[in-house]
Amino acid sequence: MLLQALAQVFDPYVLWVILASAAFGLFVGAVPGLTATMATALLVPVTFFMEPVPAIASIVTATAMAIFAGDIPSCLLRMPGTPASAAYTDEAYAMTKKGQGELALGAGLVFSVIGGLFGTAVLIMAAPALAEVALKFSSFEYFWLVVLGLLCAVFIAFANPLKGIVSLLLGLLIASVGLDNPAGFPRFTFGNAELAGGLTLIPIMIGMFAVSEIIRSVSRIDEPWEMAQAKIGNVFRGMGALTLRYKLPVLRGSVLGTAIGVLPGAGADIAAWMSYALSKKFSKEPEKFGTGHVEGIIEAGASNNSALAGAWVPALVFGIPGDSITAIVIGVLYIKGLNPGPSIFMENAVAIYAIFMVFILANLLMLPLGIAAIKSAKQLLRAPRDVLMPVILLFCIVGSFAINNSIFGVVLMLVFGVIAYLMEENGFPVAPAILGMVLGAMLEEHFIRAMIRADGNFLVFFERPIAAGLAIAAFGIVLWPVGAWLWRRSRSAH
Amino acid sequence: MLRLAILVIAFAALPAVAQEKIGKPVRLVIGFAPGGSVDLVARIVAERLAPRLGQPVLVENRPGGFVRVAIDAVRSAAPDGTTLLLTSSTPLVVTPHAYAKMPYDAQRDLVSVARLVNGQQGFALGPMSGARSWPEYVAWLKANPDKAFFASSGVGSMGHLVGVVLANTSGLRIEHVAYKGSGQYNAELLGGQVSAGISGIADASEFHRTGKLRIVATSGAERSRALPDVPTFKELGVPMDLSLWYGVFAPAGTPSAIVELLGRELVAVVGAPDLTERFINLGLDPAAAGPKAAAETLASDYARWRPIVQQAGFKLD
Amino acid sequence: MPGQRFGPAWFPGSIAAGLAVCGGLLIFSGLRRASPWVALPDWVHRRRPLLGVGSVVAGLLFYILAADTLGFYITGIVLLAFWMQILGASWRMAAVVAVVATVAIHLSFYKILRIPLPWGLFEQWAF
Repeated sequence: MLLQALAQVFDPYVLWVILASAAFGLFVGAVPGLTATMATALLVPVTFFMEPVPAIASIVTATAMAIFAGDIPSCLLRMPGTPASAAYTDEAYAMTKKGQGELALGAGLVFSVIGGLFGTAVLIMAAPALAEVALKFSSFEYFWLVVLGLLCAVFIAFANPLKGIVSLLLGLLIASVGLDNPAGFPRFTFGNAELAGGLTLIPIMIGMFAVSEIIRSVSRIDEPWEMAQAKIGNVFRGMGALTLRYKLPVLRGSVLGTAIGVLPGAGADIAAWMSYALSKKFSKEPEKFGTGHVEGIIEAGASNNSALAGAWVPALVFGIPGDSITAIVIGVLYIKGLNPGPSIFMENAVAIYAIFMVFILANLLMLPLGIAAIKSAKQLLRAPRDVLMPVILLFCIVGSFAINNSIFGVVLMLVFGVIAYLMEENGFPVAPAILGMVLGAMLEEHFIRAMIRADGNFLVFFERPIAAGLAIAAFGIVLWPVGAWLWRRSRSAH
Repeated sequence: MLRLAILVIAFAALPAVAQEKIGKPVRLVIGFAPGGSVDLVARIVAERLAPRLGQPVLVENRPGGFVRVAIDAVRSAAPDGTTLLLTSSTPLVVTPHAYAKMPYDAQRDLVSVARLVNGQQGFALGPMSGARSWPEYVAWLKANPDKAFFASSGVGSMGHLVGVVLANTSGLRIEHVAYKGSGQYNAELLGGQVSAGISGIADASEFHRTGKLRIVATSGAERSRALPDVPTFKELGVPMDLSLWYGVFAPAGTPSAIVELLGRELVAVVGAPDLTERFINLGLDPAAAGPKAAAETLASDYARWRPIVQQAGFKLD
Repeated sequence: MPGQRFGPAWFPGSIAAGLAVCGGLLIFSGLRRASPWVALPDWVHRRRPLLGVGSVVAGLLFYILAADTLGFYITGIVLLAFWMQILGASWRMAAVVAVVATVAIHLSFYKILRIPLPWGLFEQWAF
């Protein structure tokens, strides 16, 4: 049976499809504004004509590449290609400015591959068991999980936690615009049809990172441009040493990423943020975070690729999407007659084995293709600033338009670009706002639904074991620094 | 003389024929994020429609407000056949009666192009109650009033309405919990967090087939072709005839030649025998009809649903 | 909605409350340090950066207002050329890159990614 699957995967047509999808995924991921989910949606009509194995292979490969490719502009230009990369954009960009861009990207690549392989291994070995655990999560658990995620944002804010919280609240406020809330009630829409759809994350993210960075760059046009960059030599140099030094962050990131991916509705975006925060929390050198330190990138990079694999656990075992990408994949599986669920492991074992192999292949393929992408990106960015910036800006325009085929996206990009520039000039970090937007809708949805179930009694939020555990973790994160501070004060008072 | 007349008439007819081609890519807008049954149907239809029209047909997801955002996008688009809406009939014929004020009016802002398929809601039970049939579930409900919740895939969805009507007609006290889409709702149903869910048959049919969930009743007038051994609520003694259909609509003002063309092609697409089986697998009964029939169904449904919604006390604002 | 104690206003309301609290704290600490209410960055006083930033914003506005009518090709080429000029590129470089980049972007987004950028004035030649 395994041999059959091998034969199916190593068929020349399938291999060609994988290669083409990888290139496609790299392109989509690298362009700010185009996400891995979009890549998947775009592949659906193409997969209509294919057999199940190449169809799934194309999606798996494209998304794995896309999630990594988002790191390339994120690191070199401070323009995250996907929301998952936004978690560590500033860190990576700081490394680029120090001349260590190659290290940042190389680490991102290698540890993405490791994370992806870890997630795949978990998927292959433990999918059914994990899926059962995932089912134990209800709105109570998700609520605390989201709270934990939001508290992570407070950690990421380096200089001024108060400003970080303001930024986070702003993100939450932006997320509440529109009709898409538990009551279906139009908020802040002013009767406008576009606003009723809510403020889309992607154009705002592009605006807040890319446009504000462009504004900043242009305002410094009198200064010489430091793309101070060592030549990109062997990307793998030093990776061995890094792996040894940071083996705990890699493991932690991969485990957390897979775990979050397994939970339906939580995907690579959240995983990356939480891992980055955890990395800082448990690091032996937390003060280096923010100045251009590779540890956070390692952990978060491993995390977001392992989350991709983890999301397939509930998708294959139950037909329940683990993230937005697998939501589409499930549809494709149905169309191909591969109905996900317990039957798929019995009736279509060969196809499942083939899918697993594709996962492994795709992750391994990321290495050579990723290097090629990094090198070509470096070449492209050698262009003079006066030519490069306008072209990038046009890409941003198109990326903001593309998400909804609406010019309103470009409007959002402009408005929030200016807002973000003003924010950052005043010391307000932008990253927490993005996280607030990613998690805002989830926070409200789960809170309201849990409240309905608890009949208004907040104490019920602590009754279930997993929920209580997460709640304790959340309170712990908040109270620990307070407690430590009080403790230090009392010590110094003696 | 006659030949000249024929030539003149032929030439005069040419522009009318030429008008019937759609010159740009077509956007098929749907009101949900990728991955649901509407999205699936849309992608299947889009893929089959494109070669017939000679234009790419792109599915555009505009989720939000229970199709409201998508409806707005389509009704304000240029009426030249390049922007179409694919939706279930619920937001067009049911939802308007539940709100005092509506920002759109389906019959005024849209023109019906085609009816595609009919669908019903299924009442699915998860492992929480241990019940395998409707009477067993009712007994369980009476014994466990604090767990009397049913899930639906959204506020204002057909599942929500079915639940409300069910509660009214059967006298049971059961409360509604709304989820966004069917993914998480299935997860909680399977995990035993919520005892029952009501949504389109497609959302639960695979689980029903493998025994993880049990669909104990359907909401329509007749049994669904996808689940021939599941009784309707009517058969179980709870009078109900609530079903929906998926249709394609264009902005009002679209020239009738284009509407006719699109309608014809859509009916042909849905009529393909291999698609019939796919649709049935999704719990949808193919019921293709062209623009006129679809418009009539829309109008008659709109009138039919008003008393049902009002009697059920289904008010959303 | 009947049965929901926490209506749609609850979430934004709490956020607003949080913002008010934080905002108050920030203002308080700002007053303590006696920092000015508004301070302009120093580049607004220099011509080139001011022109540059202004052109970024103006260009984006131009795209928002004109892209649908003029179409992506025209708007894109005009914008790119305009921006490159402002930033100091030569005429020839600006023109060539503007055309090549616009065409490349349009083709790749339309053909590969199926994203319909506005045709505008070129609609009759749409493919």
